Amino acid sequence: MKHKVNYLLVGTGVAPLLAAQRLVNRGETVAILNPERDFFLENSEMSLDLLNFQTTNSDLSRRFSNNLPDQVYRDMVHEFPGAIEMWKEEDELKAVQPFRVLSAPWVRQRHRLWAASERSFRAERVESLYLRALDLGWKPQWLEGLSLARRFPGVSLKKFDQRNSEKWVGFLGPRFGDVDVERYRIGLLEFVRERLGRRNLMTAAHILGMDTKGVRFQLASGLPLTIEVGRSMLFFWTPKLERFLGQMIQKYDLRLVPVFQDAVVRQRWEEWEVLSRDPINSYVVGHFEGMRVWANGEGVPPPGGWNQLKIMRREIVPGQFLSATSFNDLSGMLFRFMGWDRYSVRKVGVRIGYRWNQSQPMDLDADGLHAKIILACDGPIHWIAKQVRQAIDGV
Amino acid sequence: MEFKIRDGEIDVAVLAGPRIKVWPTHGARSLSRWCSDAGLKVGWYGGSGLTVRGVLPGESNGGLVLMEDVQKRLHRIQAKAIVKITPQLSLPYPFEGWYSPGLIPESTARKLMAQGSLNWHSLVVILGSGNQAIRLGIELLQQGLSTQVICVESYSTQSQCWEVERRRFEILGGKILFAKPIQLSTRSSFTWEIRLQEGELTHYLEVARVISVGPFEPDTGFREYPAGSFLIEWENTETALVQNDVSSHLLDESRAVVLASRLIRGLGDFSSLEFKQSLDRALWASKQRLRELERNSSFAFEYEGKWLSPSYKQLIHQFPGTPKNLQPEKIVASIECIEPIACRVCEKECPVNAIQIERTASGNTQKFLLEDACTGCGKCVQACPSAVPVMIEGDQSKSYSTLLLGYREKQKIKKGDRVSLLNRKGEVLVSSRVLDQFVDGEVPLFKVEVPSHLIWEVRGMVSLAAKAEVDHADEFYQEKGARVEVQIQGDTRRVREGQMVSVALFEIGMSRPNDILICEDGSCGLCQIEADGVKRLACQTTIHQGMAIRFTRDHEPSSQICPCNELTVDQVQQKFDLTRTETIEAFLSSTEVIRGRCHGLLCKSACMKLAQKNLIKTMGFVDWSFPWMDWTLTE
Repeated sequence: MKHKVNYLLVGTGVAPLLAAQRLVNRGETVAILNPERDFFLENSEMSLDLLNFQTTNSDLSRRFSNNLPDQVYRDMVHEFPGAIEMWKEEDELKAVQPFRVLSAPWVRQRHRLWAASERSFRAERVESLYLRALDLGWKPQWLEGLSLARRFPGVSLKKFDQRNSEKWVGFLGPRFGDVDVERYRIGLLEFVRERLGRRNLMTAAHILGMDTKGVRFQLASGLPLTIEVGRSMLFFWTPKLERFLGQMIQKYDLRLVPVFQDAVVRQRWEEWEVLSRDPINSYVVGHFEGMRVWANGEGVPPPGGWNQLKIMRREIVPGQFLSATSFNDLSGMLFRFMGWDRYSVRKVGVRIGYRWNQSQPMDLDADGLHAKIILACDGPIHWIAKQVRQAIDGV
Repeated sequence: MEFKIRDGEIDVAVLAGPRIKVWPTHGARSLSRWCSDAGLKVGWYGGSGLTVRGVLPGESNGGLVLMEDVQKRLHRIQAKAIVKITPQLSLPYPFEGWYSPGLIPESTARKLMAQGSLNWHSLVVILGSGNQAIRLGIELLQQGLSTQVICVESYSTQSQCWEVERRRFEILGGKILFAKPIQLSTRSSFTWEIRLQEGELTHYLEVARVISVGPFEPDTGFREYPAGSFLIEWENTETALVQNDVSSHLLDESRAVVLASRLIRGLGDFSSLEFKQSLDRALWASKQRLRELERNSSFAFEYEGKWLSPSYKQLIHQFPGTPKNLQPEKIVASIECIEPIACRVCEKECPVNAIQIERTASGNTQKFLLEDACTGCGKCVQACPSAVPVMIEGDQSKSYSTLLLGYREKQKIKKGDRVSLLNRKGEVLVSSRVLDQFVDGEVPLFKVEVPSHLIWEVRGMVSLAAKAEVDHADEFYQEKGARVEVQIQGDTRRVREGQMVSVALFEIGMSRPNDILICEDGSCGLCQIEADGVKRLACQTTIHQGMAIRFTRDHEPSSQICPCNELTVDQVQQKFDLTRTETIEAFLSSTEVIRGRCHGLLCKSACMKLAQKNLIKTMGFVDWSFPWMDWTLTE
């Protein structure tokens, strides 16, 4: 079987779906190949920006602006075929029904709250961040002790006073947007599948060869196919695609090997889900000693509030995953700061993200076939949407 | 609290999954022996001293195992290959009211039997018709715990057990029904009504309990997922003692060799040619045996009324396990093990090697009983776990011959008693009397007179007097432990001291769906209560005088596929219709099933079936979510 398209997109997550949407809107013919078995297996796509400032110290202002709810909404809505709901704390307090379409993805608005022990070296970092946020006009609110604890997701207020001899300081930052990844993916995939048809959206595709005549590949069923590419082939670089891309570069364009190796630094995150006895404040995302903490749940919080706490912890020393440090950090936060006396771990997982040293697309010459590798297709989903839009506008 | 982690490295880590009671299992021992002989470093992790919390799969193969010892120290082991051994828990596909105290899994029923908490002098329905289900039915009937047992096969049109087990069950009065459970509803604290659909016929049965045994899906043994990752889950089939379940024991042993061979080829080296040859030989033999064990021959006799049909009579006469030349004054064994059952216990036990079993690759028995060598000692009757052999003293010249039947029931029969003789499906053929009784071993042998023309029909007996005795007496149920007063939801109740709260609730008819003792070790975390104001698990808390018990969660019976997240089949299906995911991981993640408190214990198999219905490949899937069960860390 053989057919011709203008653009062939290869990727594992939402990036090729977004790109397909944009290209089809331009009137191009598109096909998507996913070497993975499903579009839902890419776990590097995050609902929110974890704000890992170690890498992006200089562009704080840009980063903050990109995460503002309206900006997140604008980034998301371009390629999304249906409604996206905006939701903030006040809506619920005013008894406004937050969701009009239940299957629509939401952009939830949550404050960011940085906290640290006054005795810790991190307190200085928090203070410095506060001052910079103040300079930038973000109106941060400096908090201490109980007023800080009251805002932080998961803190047991009953025991906070009795148990905490330490002084805790921090500040409440602006509201940022976070996105319902699952619903966004589902809506997008459903629409793209309808527009492209099954013939042009294939999973578990194993690429056998590329040249000017097209791309030969095989599906899991063993069916060999060829797609003739009229204009360009685009690869969307995500952690799941890394090995595949490495093989492609080794095979077709050796000059890209050093660039490919230097483009990213792998960053692993421990993803914990723990159960809280008390309802958790759903409207704040906490930052505490290298960890990000928020109430885990979908849609409208139940009357008592959610009681699952999601904690993302960055792996500091490579190979020290789920190490004594992980447990000490986590327990330190839950026992010492939040005032818990025990915690139940529901789930622990790994998320791999990248720290990008460059973001411009890379050109790949595959035996005469023009291909581009689009970088930075992981991380917060609204970033991916933006990155893909810029990349597609450039081709 | 300061955490310290002890790190280690190993080639093959064999892990006890949640709910494994006997550790290491026979299969784990066999596997380890082979692997260590090949020079691999093997470790068993689990048991009473060490709780394995879970596995984090590595990027290529193997992974990281995290466990906790009794002193709450953490251990982190990097392993090249990981074998997780899990017990089977067969729960049916959800039907109305399936998740209720009326339905208990087999492990729960066995635990209650062991504690003397079962005393059901009425109908018990067992879901499933495999050997395990039939054997449980036999035990209930033999011990007089139930007067009537019906095994319900709902997923196939033929029973999943061996004919020899089915025969034993039916001789004891058990019945097998081919029907689908539709609804389970409560009648009183101790009685339930199950509605079964058999074609166009609907049965309404008032039952004491429904026990879920299965199998409801094919037994896959071990599964490697993802393929090539050396991350293996092995469903432990071994249930109890070897004598009770030879087939499971053999199955585990054979699977251990096959799995060991796979691991050794992937990780070990074959420096010793001798070892390689011995492994190859063992592998070949194990594969042969597995073929025999895993094959469900679905053999069943056919009858014309109460009598065997002529073709099946001929089959018995031609079978090499039955005697061909019956002679007066000579007692000889007759072993109608027509199915290719691979247990061979009788062969091992025969003191004069009169049993030598030879079968072809296709399962046809070529050689079995050496009639002339048989001394009629009866060892085979004692040994056979399925009670197949009978001893025949045939005299065709006389109108009566004699049979020696093994009799394992608790009903008392003595010399001179009148008995009814039964055919292979438990129907009364004729009455007779016991001529003699021999007690040499666990199973007493009774010599009965049988009309010579019925010598190939009679295979069981029952004492009418003893039967009546069982109906009226509670002699097999002896209450253990003194009664004490406790407060349950504010009401005063008298329960047995020293037993677990969940068992006490069960005994007084107050158990909740979450108290059906699924895990027995607290791993599922479902049965939470408040005991004296402190939150605890009912299956881990002992009753004492004056205890105050309150329920902390709702406990309504459920028809949902995922009772923890309150998801119905329709809701899961709707989510799938939106996402149309193509892999099982994506299906589970997007539908949010198996992510509840029970970590998939209740809903995993039903979700797999739902995924299969939606054409998602689930073959070999293993959920490696970490941790395996909720893990509580205290300050």
